[in-house]
Parts: sequence; C-alpha cells; structure tokens
Amino acid sequence: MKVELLAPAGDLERLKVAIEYGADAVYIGGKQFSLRARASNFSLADIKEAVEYAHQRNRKVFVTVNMIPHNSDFEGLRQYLEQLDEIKVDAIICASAAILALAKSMNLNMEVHISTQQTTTNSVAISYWQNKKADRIVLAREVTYENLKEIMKETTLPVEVFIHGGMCANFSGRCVISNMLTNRDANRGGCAQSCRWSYHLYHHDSCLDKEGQLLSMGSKDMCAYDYLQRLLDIKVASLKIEGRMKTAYYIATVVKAYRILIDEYYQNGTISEKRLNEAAILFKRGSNRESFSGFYPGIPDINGQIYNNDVMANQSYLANVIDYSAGVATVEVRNYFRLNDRLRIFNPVGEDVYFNVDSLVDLNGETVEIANRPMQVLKMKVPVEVNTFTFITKSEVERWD
Amino acid sequence: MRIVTSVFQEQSLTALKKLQVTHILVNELKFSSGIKGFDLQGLKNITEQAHQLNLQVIVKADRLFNQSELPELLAFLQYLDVIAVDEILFSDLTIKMLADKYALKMKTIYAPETLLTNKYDVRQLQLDGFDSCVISKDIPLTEMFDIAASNKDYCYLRIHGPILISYGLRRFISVYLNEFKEYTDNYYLCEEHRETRLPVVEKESGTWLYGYTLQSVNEIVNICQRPLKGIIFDNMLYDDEYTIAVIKIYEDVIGQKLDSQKALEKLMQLNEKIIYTDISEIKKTALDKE
Repeated sequence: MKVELLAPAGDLERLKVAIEYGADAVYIGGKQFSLRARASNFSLADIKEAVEYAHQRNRKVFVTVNMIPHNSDFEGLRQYLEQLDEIKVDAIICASAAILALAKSMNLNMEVHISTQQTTTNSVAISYWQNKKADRIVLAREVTYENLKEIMKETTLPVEVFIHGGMCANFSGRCVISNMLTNRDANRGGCAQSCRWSYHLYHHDSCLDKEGQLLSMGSKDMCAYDYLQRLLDIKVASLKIEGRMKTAYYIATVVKAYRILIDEYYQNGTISEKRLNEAAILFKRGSNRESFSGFYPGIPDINGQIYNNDVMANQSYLANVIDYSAGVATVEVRNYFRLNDRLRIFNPVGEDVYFNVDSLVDLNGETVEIANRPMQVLKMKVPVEVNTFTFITKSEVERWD
Repeated sequence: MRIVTSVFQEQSLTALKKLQVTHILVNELKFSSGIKGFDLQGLKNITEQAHQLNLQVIVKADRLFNQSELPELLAFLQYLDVIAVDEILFSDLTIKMLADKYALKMKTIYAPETLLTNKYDVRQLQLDGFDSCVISKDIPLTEMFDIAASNKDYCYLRIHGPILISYGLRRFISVYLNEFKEYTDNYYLCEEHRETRLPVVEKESGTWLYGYTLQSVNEIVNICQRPLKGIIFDNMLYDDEYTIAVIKIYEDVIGQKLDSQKALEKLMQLNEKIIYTDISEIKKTALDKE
C-alpha cells in the first residue's frame, strides 16, 4: 500500500491545484463544524464539485468536522453528515468521540478519522479509537520519529502524520491562550495565534528579558522531508500537509515537491540527494517562514523557535495563467515584474521552463512596461504550452540541475 | 457531593477533613503537571494517612505520555493499585486503556482540560466505562450545568485554582534563557502589550502556562445544587495553608456566614498577587475576530 499524500485546500481553486500537482487526497472544511473559521470554507455545493473533481481523477476528499464541539454545535450535525455521505465524501476528520459514535451509528460509507486535536501520542491511546471503530488516527505533531517507529509496530490502525506546515507551540487541542487573551476559541476555529506574540519573562518581580529579544512561544514551520524516507519505510498511511489558509502557489510547490520524492521512493526504493535538493528549492519558493523537522528528531530546541514573529514576504509568485492560445498566455498579476524580466513557468508536471518577457501587453494590446497592479490581466508570449494550473514565478538563480 | 482538594503536606489532612473535604488530590511529580507533590513512598504514606481519616485519595497523572514511557507508566499505575489509591485523574486516554487491560481497581476520572465541552462526549465516556470526568473549564457555567444535568452525578467541576491555558513538550524558558533546569515557582510570562502575568511552569517533561485563578464564591451555592459528582479545588501553584483558608471561605459562604463580596475580599487578602476570575465570567468564545 503506497502512502497517501494529503494536502489542504481552503477553496475549490486550491483543491484543484493540490490535485493537479500530485496530492492523493485533499482535506477541506465545510461552513460548519470545522476549525479554521477564517479559511474560505466550502459550501455543500462546493464540496460536491470538489468530490466529483477528485473522484474523476481517482483522488479523495476528506472534510474536517474537527472543532471541539459545544452542546449547540451538534444541531444539524446528523443531517450534515448524511449530506456529506450522499455526495460521496471519502472521510470526515473529527475530534470528538460523540461525533465518531454518531457517524458510525449512521452506517455511512465515509470513513471517520480522528483529528490531531485529540493529541494521540502512543499506541495504547490509539487502541481506544480503534475500539470505537475509527478508521484512521492523526497523531499529535509531538511524536518523535523513534516513538513513531515503535507505535507503527504496535498498531494496526492506519496512522496519519504531519510532514509539512505550521506548528502549534503546544499540543493542538489543549491550548486556550487565544481564548483567554482574545476570547477567540482556539478549538472552534478562531485561534488568534497568541503563542506567536512576544512576552516578557519574570521571576518574581525580576525581568529576565534578553536584550532586544522577548520570549515567544512561536514555532518555526515544519518541513520534514529529511524524514520522508524513514516515514515511508515504517509505512505510515498518510502524510499530511498543514495549511488550509495557505495560497494556491504554496500548495502547488509543497505538493509537487513531496510528489517527486514519494514517486522516486516507490520507483527506486530510495530518495536521491538530487531529488532532495530539487525539493528543497521548491519548499524555499513557497515558504514565508523559517522551517525545521518538527518533533521527529526530538523535542525542539532553539532551532525550532521563532522570536521575532516575522513572516518573510514571499513574492516569487508573479502571476497565474487564466487562458492560453497559440503561444500567448493571459495572466493575472499577483506580484511586481517588468518587461524583459527573466521568469519561470512552473507546471504541475515536468521541469521548469525559463523565458524572457519580451512581449507584455494589456487587453487593449498596449505594451506594459511594469506589471504592478494586483489582479491586472495581461498577455505575454510564452515558449511552451501552459494551462490554468501554471504559475509564472520569479527566476531565481537556483536551478534543479 | 464530593469535595476534592489538592494537598501537598500530610499534616494538612486533619484540617481538610474538618472542613468536610471527602477526597484529596495528590501529584506524583513525574507523571503529573504538578510542581509540588510526592514521590512513590510519599504517595504510599499519604494514602495510608488519608484512609485512616476516611479521606479518599485521587492521584493526579495529567500529562500526555509518549510510546517509550508506557512501561514506566504501567508500573506506576500498578504501584498505585498496590498502595490502594482510590482514583486516578488523568488527561491521556492511555491510562483508561491500561487500567482496563490490567484490571486495576482504581476508579478513573478523565480530565482532558479542553476536550470535554459538551454533554454528548461526556455520555460517550460513560458508555466507555470511565467512572467520572472533569468538565472543561473553558466553557460558560450554563453549559457546564447543562452537561452535568445530562449526566447526573457523573461530572466534577473545577471551581477554584489556577486555570491551565496551554500545555506542550517544548521547554520555552530553558530554550529562551539557554539554561536547562526546572523552572517551577514564581515564573511568569507577560504579553508585551498587556499587564497580566501568566504563571508558567517548566519541567523536564514540558511547559504549562496558566491564566487567572478561577474562583466561584458567587456561584458556589448554585453549583452545590447541581447534580455533580463533586467539586475540585486544585491549587497546584499555591500551598496547603492557602487551600485550607480558601475552603473555609467557601464553607462560610455556603453556611451564609459570609456574603460573596466579602468572600472575594477575603480571598484577595490571602495573596494579593493572585488575580481571580469568576467562574461565571467565562464567556462563550467567538469563532473569529469580533
């Protein structure tokens, strides 16, 4: 059984991007019952379209029902689950024993996966969920690789682990700093990420602040491709990418990078340095925060922390293609570039293509020297056929080979 | 209704018994979030003494446990059974599964801090054979009462003590100060634009961040009329002297010797640095920025 590459999507566009760039499954949130309240979540009609799109390509769609529910949150849940099942969603991801029990009592076709919000960290805890007929467990991000290896020997329930994306400072599901400081519920989709703020540290009344640097609990993002081969060796069922609020370009770069690595593993039984280097370049293009390997090597030290909470502006994504005809791409501008710049074509499959922008016109055919208006629609000559899943990006000096 | 209170010294037991405490809550240092508590021999001693006073003993083991800790955890649980601890309060399902598998006699109290926020999940616990549970302290009091009413004589309510707001394995203070040791008493974090100091405890096994200290003097009479299994005073950051004084204040409110306003004033006089929040002030949280 090959591992599943599971990608996030905040809307239909991003779901399609995830699938085209190589995700085996995509997880999305509905309008209700889901964390990430600020993600542009899916209506039932959107979910139906997503499922049809995915199933036509032999991929899967999971829907998060992963809030820690209050009494009133159960209103309409049964009907919602029925609707998800009717439109052939492949699984729900939930964080509540009651929701699991309800779904199982309804004899639905879709699977029920237990969310990382339940903070499962060992095989004995997994057995609780297995006894309750859960179909998959999503482990806490705090499980080290050595512990995971032992867990995999002890459990028969399919195990999903995180491989990439944002990290909570503390156990996901067990943190209510946001609730206390902002009244935004971390466990019902409103997390204000208060852990990333800056804090003074005191002992009694003595301030222990380091000069120019307050304490933050904020974590670097996870980017654990250096553990990928080991995770594949121990046969985890699914590798999860975090980030339902991330951009389409981020999803494209991350999914393609892992797709390349996973495919090579199954083709050659190992992942080469060359492919790892390629992937590293892709990760760098899409990221906007420093990264590390999460808890796989052990409990993070200073290399897992961010104290300045700076999010690096990532402006490598310049435009997306909205149409193509006879060597001319119609693009929608996202970031600044100029006529005669050297750019890159980033496609779902295959190597990047580099080209000079020697023709850039607006819809009236007037030449444009500088593309600097977001969402501006322009036309440019391109050297290869492109499609609506193509991204036009900056051409950094790095190359794959 | 059971009255459960944290205790750190054997000599406090008699005073607590006189205050109608029925159960004591004790930490074992390795397996709990506690910064004060007992070693294995100390647990045995206090269990024996408590039983002599007809007090029941609940051991708190509220960490989450990784795979490599399971053998040691099992040995610990079996030891608790041997020394006749009555109940165990925990936040990791692992303990319930081990208790079942090894037929341990201790009763189980599931207290996963943030996760028990509705009556349906509590009902599942009953069906799964958990002996009782602690309702999440992060929901409004009316919702706590709804849960208790739907699961009669099954739920505990935390009514007094520092509110745990976050728990993780990272060692934030050690990493920040580049100095690895245990940071237990009197460390605080203070968000740069706020004045509230949040107690923070760091042990080898992780970091626990607390918010305000919960108090329920306004609502204690109301709470006592609800079909709860028990109420918990968990003062893990304070000492027994404080706890005994606190319980006396609640007792006076219940006995109508003290009104709640005066009770609150007395609470504040016990330790002027403690910032309290009333249990009825815990609001329905928002799903997004308001």
